[in-house]
Amino acid sequence: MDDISNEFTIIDEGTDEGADDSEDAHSASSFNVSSLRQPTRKKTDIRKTTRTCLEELHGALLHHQWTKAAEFMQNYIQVLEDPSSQQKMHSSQRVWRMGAEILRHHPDATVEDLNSFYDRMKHLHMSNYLKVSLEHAFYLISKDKIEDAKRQLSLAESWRYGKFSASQEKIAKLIQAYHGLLDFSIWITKRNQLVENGSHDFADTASNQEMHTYFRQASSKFHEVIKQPGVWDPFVLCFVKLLEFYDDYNGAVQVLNNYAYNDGFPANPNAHIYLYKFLKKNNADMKKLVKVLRVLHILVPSHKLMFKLCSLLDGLDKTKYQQESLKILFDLLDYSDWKNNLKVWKRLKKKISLLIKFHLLKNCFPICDVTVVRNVEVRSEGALRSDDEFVVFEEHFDSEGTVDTGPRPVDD
Amino acid sequence: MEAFYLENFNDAFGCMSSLLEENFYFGYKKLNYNQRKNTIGHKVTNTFLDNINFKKCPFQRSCKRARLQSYLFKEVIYDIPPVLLAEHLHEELKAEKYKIFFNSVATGGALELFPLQNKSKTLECCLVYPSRSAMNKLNFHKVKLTSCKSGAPQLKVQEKLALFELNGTIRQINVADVEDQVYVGVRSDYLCGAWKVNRKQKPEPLQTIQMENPATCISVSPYLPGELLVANESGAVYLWNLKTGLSMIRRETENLYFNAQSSWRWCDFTAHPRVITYADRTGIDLTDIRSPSTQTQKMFSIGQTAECKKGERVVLLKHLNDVNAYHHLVTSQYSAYIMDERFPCVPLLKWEHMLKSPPIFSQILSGDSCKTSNKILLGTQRSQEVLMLQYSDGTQMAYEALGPPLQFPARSNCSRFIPFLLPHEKEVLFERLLSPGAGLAAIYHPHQANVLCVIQLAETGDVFYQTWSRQESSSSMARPRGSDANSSEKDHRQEKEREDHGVFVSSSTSHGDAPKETCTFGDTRPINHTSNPNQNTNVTQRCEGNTPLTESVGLSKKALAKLVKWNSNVLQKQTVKRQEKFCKVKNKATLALPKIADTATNHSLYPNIRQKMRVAMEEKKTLSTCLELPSLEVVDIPGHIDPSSWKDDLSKRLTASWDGKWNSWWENKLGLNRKQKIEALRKKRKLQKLARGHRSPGLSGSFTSSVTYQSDLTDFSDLSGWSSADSNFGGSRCSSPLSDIETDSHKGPSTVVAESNTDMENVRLGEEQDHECVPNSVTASSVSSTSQYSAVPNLRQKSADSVSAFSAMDSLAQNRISVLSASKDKSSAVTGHPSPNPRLHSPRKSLTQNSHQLQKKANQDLASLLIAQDSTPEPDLEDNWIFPLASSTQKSSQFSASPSLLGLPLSQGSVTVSQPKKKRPRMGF
Repeated sequence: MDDISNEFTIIDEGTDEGADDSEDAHSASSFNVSSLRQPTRKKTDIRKTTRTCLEELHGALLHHQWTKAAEFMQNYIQVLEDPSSQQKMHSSQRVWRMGAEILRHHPDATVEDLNSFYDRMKHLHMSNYLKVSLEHAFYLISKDKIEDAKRQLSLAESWRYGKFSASQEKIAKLIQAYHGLLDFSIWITKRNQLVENGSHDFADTASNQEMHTYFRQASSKFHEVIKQPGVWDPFVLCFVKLLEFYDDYNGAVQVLNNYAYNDGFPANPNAHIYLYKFLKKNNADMKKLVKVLRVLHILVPSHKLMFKLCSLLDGLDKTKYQQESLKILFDLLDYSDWKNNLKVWKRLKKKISLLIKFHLLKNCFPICDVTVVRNVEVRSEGALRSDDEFVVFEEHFDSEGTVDTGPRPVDD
Repeated sequence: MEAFYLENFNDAFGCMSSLLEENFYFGYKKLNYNQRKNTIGHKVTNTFLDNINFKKCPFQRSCKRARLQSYLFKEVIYDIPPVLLAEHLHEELKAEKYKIFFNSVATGGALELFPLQNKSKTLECCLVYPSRSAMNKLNFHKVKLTSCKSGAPQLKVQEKLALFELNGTIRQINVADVEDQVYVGVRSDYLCGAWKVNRKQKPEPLQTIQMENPATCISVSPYLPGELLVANESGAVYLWNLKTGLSMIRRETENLYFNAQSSWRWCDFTAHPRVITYADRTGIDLTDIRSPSTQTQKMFSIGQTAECKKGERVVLLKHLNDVNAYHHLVTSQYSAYIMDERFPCVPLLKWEHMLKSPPIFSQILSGDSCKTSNKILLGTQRSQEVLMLQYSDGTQMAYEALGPPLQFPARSNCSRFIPFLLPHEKEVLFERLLSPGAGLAAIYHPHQANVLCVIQLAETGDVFYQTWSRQESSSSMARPRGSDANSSEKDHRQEKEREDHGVFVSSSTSHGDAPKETCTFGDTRPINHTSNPNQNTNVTQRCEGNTPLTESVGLSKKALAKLVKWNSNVLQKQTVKRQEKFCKVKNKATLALPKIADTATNHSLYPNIRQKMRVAMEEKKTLSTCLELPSLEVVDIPGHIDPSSWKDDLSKRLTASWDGKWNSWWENKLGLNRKQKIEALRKKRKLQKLARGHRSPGLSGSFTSSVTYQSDLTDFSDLSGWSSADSNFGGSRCSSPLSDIETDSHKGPSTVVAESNTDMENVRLGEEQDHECVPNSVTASSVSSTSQYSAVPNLRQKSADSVSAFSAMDSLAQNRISVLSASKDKSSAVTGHPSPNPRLHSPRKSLTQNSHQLQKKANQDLASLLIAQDSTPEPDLEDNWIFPLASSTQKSSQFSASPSLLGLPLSQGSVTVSQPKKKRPRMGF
């Protein structure tokens, strides 16, 4: 969810005016037209002055002149007096985002300033309430004020104003999810305290009870959120951790399976990786692991788990699987970040020699690409020749940590 | 349209002229008979052309045949019918207009920089850029980053490796490093070319291809040597192998996800050498070269990626091979995204870049080599902005944007460092500096990790560079803010590490321009438009505290010197251009002055005078007393010319025009203003009647005065502008000495004729004085209902003044003056205040002359008017009596009133009697 949380919070001036949108829709005949702001648009005086002010403000922000920007902001706030409702929505959004950005960087701004600023911005325009609340919570979290952030989120969760629009519904879901995440973080600190204290019986004391309430809160929220299609990676992980702690193995598997294989969800390679890791952690059946990794191979043939898949297939010890693992290796070597990996090349060499031994190689060659053949020529010779490179590759490979567990497939 | 064929005659008449070519003869010999049948000599043609009436006066002498033919051929001689041509021309102009704002042709940028030795931390780089005004010369130039101990590193320009001239404007240059060799792909509109730069040898051209449709993209494979991708406007993407040639991979006649009506296509490589990205304005697809028809996968689409704005379009796509082979940079006009090809449609990072125009140039700097954050530089074409976005390297933690975007000062900013520019020079310089960008490149200093060098190319061929260094002290400002819940779990070590990464907040700017030798080149041959003089800089000031950037950015002395030199080169070229444009006439010889200097120095008088001047200055006296210059002779004022002595019409007219009354003179002469006069007269008479009607011997003066006052009021309604403060003026008027004279003069005998004359003259003078009296502060009469009347008092005052001063006047004039003052009194709007009009403050003598003159003239005019009026029909007196004051003006058009004998006594009586009455109330004030 980095894209949302790290989003830079100033909106572009080009998108501000509602007139632009209609214009775009009207004259979207070519990109050029839609991307331009028409210079000859009639404007009232106040709009002209606020426009000029906005330009100055914009320049100050981009050059990181925060004090200057704050001065401009003081004047720019009068844009809120514009009576047109469309304008009001855009301008309130602009004031919020730019004001927050300035206050975060301004040398004299305090946390209290930002808090009061956010409180005001929430009520400036109803459509922004949830977004501002979420951002406020993020800010508080970054300042290590978990409790305050939690309060903000619960306030936002209970907020109602007419019917939610589609985008507001999304934000509401996010708020719920982050609320759950905060519950989870409190839960995990409490758990760690208990572990440190050495008490292993989690059912007894009052603090334990409190911990369990946080668990219930968090898990119910996660459960609610994860039902919705979307990319919920951190939340799913936290949910699985919760379930794992309370030994709900089946529940966790069900959540992960749903997350990976539900058609409504967007294709998410991470879901399969999580599933694989969870299954592996719980010593699941090898066939299950291979099944998960095969799906991952279709999605991301370059993933480092593919190397693991090869060794798993080798362990199955059937010619069919040998050929499949050769294919996987070839696919892997196509990618630029694998082509210098000596371990893969050695594995390939071993595999080819094995297949030659059983006269099976001819079935595999159609999948081989020009690039790989060329790479085989150039890389394998060069890499195998020099001992220095060998060491370098070896280290690189280990640092990736893909083969830290399981049998060592290549004997040096 | 009318000028189209004048400017573009080749386009307009090309076909026709080539068809007719054999029928024209351009030699000087005489044609024989057979030839003459179907061939025309050029002499005939020339005379014909001379006589065609284009751009000439149609009434000019012309050959009839030529004119007829020009009418006949009007439509025919165009290759394209004018209507159709106009349509196309309009379309083209519209497209050109949009191109000024955004020209997608330049996407990708035509500037590249690569190190000359493989992967090692070399200081020597090769800069590839186009030059010349047509941007058709491909330069390979060696540059070197030198580190200065005192300041920021500089970019030193070294020898030119190679120069190639191409047959088209270079739009894009793409470079990839494959197996110790650098492949350079160059795209112009219809031609694409490939070069190879072996690090030890000179660059060598490999192959060029020509396309039917304009190419929109070229990208060089970083995996296989001699492999390139080319996309063109037909929607096709070709794999261009230097050995096997072109092969089409994919062709889309329509846009990918919705109809954006755009023929722009883009392609790039991905982490897999056989998978490419295929992009248009609506989104991005992944396509497998091996089976393009089936193996496509959506990577980015405007509608489906979250938080896309309405009207947002893909502007640029770039494979971030140096940072992470799976990552791609996608920019739109609002945002910049980093996409992971393994996780389609979900952006890894997103910024709103806030640039004024869409970013079409980009440069990615991997943080790996310098242990800093990854940096993305975005450059725009029109607004010259360069923006830096930063994000974490993502090895330990998730990818995270660091700090707000930072904008580098535009290159046009360096104009403020150039001292002493004349306005026209400034204009030239600004025009040059504000030219749109054409490319962007950047490089880290290999030995100083915190130094960044940004190079920009302008469309005019100038290359500028800025070097930036990070200021450690203020890096805390750029501390990233974790907004994710996960960030609460961040360990401290991470946080600190990121602080070290920091953001480039300190600034050292330098504006450079690439090749050094072209700098000298520019000196010797100033006509060469694209000579690239060179400027270098480093920091002069460190920024203080929290006010970083532009304010504190400075230029070093060296850089400034180079900038000034470059500037002078630009200006020199401009002047050369200008000279070509305008014909220059030497006037030195014709307007040479005699040599004053010699005579001045030799003259014996001057030292003396100088000394005296010095003395005068010391003593602070005036010069005239010190210098003892010979006193000037007093020249008498030339004697007065009396225009009244000239009786003829011409003289009168000239006199009138000299006074600025030429127009009214003519009106008078032609009788155009008769109606007005008559109306005015009638009005006056009505007033007199009214006055007489109210007159009764038994009533007190105050009563009558109140009546007149009322009548005044009625007139005020007509005269809104003149109604100010007349009563006050009237009061003061009474106390002035003039009043005595007036009353005296009034007591004098006046005949009926004189009286009537007065009326007429009053009107007349009022008209004459009309326009020049308007600015006077003298207030108007209350009687007059039109603006003509308002002017009267002014004039009267003048004459009155003159009377008071010089009693010795000829009888006629005196008579007139007395009459004038009488009429003025009657109108009761007399002013004694001095007027601001300068004429009133002029010497008495001239004033008298003036009044004299006026009176005489008026007399003459009156005479002429009277004569004219004799012929007018008699007025209907009944009507005059019946109609009341207010309505009389409305009905006046019916009457052609004239001073008849019947009416005159009445009016005279009213005048004579009413005067004292009017005076009385004023005395009482």
